Amino acid sequence: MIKRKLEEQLKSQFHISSFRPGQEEIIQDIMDGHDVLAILPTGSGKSLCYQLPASLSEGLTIVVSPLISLMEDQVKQLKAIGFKAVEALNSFMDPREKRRVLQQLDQYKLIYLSPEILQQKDIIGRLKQITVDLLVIDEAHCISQWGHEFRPDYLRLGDVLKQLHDPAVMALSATATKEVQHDIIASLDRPDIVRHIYPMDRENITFTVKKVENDRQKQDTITRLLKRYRVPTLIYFSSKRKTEEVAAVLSKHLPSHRIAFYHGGMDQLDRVAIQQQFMNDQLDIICCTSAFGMGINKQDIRLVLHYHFPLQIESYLQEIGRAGRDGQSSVSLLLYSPGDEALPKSIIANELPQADDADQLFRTLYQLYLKEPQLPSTDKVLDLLEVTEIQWRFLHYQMEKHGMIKNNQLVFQKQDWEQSIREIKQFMIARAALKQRKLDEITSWIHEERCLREHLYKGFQNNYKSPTYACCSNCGFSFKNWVPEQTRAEKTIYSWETKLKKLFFIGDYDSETK
Amino acid sequence: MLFDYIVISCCSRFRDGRSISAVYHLLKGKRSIQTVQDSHIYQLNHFYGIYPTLQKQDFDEQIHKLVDDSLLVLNNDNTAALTDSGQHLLHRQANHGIVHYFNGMDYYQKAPVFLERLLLLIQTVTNSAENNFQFIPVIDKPIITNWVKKQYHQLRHHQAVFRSQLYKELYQLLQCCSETEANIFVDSLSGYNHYGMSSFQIADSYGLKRVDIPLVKTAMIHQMLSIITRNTTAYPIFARFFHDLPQASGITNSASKTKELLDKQYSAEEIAARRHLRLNTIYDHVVEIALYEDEFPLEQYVTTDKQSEILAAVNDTSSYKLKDIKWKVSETISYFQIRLVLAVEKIS
Ligand SMILES: Nc1ncnc2c1ncn2[C@@H]1O[C@H](COP(=O)(O)OP(=O)(O)OP(=O)(O)O)[C@@H](O)[C@H]1O
Ligand SMILES: [Mg+2]
Ligand SMILES: [Zn+2]
Repeated sequence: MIKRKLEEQLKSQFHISSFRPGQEEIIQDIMDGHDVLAILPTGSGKSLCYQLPASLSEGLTIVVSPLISLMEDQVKQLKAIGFKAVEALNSFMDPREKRRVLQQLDQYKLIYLSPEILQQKDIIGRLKQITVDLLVIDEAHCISQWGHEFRPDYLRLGDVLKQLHDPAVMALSATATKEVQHDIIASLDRPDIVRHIYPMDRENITFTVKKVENDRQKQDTITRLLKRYRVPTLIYFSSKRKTEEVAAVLSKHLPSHRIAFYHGGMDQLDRVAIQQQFMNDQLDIICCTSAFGMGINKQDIRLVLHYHFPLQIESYLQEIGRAGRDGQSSVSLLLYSPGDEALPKSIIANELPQADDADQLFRTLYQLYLKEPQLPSTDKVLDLLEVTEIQWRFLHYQMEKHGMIKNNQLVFQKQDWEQSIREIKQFMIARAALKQRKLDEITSWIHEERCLREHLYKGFQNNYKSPTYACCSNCGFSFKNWVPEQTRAEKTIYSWETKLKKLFFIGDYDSETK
Repeated sequence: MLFDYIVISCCSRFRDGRSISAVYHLLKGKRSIQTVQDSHIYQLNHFYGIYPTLQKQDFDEQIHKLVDDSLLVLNNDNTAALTDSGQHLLHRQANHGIVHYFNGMDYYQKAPVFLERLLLLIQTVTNSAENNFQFIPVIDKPIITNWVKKQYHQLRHHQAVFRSQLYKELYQLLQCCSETEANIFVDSLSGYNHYGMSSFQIADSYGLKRVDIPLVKTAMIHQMLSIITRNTTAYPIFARFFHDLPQASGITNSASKTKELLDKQYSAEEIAARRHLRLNTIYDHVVEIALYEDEFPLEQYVTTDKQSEILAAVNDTSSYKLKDIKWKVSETISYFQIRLVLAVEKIS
């Protein structure tokens, strides 16, 4: 009976004819009121696992999601298929708009929000007034991967759950090691969570690593490769500036390709434009940072290149997970040149305060306390302590946890401070070591001489499916034998009059005469 | 280029009377009495509010470039002066066609709404022509989407006619622009399975500067609005766009409360006490009201004698710096009274 109802809703609301592996079981468990931790491959349809129950449920489902663009994208797509009781709340939205959504909160079935906004008193207060049936944590590995310094509010989700009178929880991820799964369960404090862990290897992706001498050779390699293949392509970078630079170089050398760049420093409208053009096949290549990707759901991305390698295997898996969602043969190519480790190292250093500097930091904070316990504005603190914003967020969270900051006021007790500082320093050292270990993991994978597939997944699962197409560059893959379907689009320049006619289907383009 | 030209011409009008950030506020269309008054006094109404999306950071960066290129010099008090090459550029580009499209004070509120309605309407009618109702809208602000929905519902039975009429009207309007302008505009439109170019893509493909693109689009919209206003019968669809466009509301909310009380014959001091505001704030409101009122009772605040004294001082100094004027007039005349006279006379 229930099963029939689920299938009906699947067809009528989502226009999907049957479930994919795992989806039905997960949805059943959620409908029965269980908590669920689900690990499924990228592109396997995790969103549906909460969207379908939300569309059938009386109360509200809230989804905690790490990226604004990701939330907005999902909301737009749901509205486009006619599921309208959906909205996204984020810290950047117009306050009037936010108030409107909050006032009518009981009319929604699904609300996407960021972990930061869940810390705002008005939001939590309002959520408490209505029934939250289900709290979903998408990309749940963020709880562990980023939680400690980058996004401390992810660590406060356990607390949010209590405040909301313990709704059911669903944690979703495509890239969670056993260790991370542990972290997730512990920080949510739901030991009885039902686990749906599926192998997350992608059998239609071929893994390749190419070592070159320098930047110049990276660009030459990319140019040569893309001259041969005109297919939907993503190129990942760790630096915003570099996305623009290389996009310009490629545009010069590949005049027939349509190339753009995308990074978090661009304004919202520009980002939407690039993303939608890519979705509509108006662009061939996007040079992007990790801001592009998560949740991007284009079926036929054939090539994912890495100009810089990410800080850890998890991020790499996320990024290559954009490729080949249609199941067709797709290739990941990571380019490495000696000295490439410097960039990720400096990114890590920027994220964490150095344990060596800790004593000086706390001395400055103590002096601040003597003058005035109330913390000044964030800008002032950053100036005073000479730390980055991410470092301060880490410190602030740690100090709060140790009772050294309460309600944005410094609280001083000599003995407690000494003890806390020792603990915080220990913790910094441990975190730095962990990050270094993650970095070592990916660099040693890059230098692996045996099967790349086997060693890529070994930290996540014991086995992997045999690849549908070629396995990896260490198992004999060569681009010579790779013949994906190419994009045909012409790049003709029309007059504005013709462009306008085409847009409106006028004259030769009039669809009504068809 | 366009941006540079506009900044330079603002600076040349302000001379050393206003700091460089006054230019920023003017382009952003800041709703402060100071900015509105500046725009009247220095005859910069056409540039008021033409760049609402301008970021301070980008503005500063452009100013630095102008200084580096020796077109502007920044003085210690943050006022800006034109160099000889700045002057040269100003004269060389004075006939730059597109600059004459701007009519900021009349259109600064209408233009963005008009553009957004147009963008979404085009996307909607072209998609529905292909029976596609699952597209991701280019604009998702409720006030815009609701308006487009309403139009669409009224017209859905005559879709084909509506679409070709919309095309015809847009075509006519674009013919009044230059070739490049028309291209830029059409490239930024979205339709069925087609998403318009972003500002930086347009800048790249036409070899323009990124900061200029929003200005080009705004200028074109201003031009379109004035063509349509002059001949509504030729543009039946666009005339509908006018029905509920925001009115140039003139004064700010707070000032309009003050005006209500003034109309009830409360004095400025009484209003300040009643509203728990500083007297100077109420004076600001009065000046703001004076700017927009055609029949402002100036005599209630400044005697005719004092008015002429102030006007004489203004002519004498030929600067609009309040300090200079104040220095020339008798001590009993306040800054408030000077500002009021300037406002009423819409002095330039
Ligand atoms: N049962 C199904 N049958 C067909 N298509 C489906 C099914 N379930 C989901 N999809 C589609 O699969 C695509 C990918 O889904 P989704 O974005 O939820 O993936 P995901 O698992 O969240 O991936 P990622 O880890 O990359 O975020 C979507 O287009 C979705 O509509
Ligand atoms: Mg997902
Ligand atoms: Zn292999």
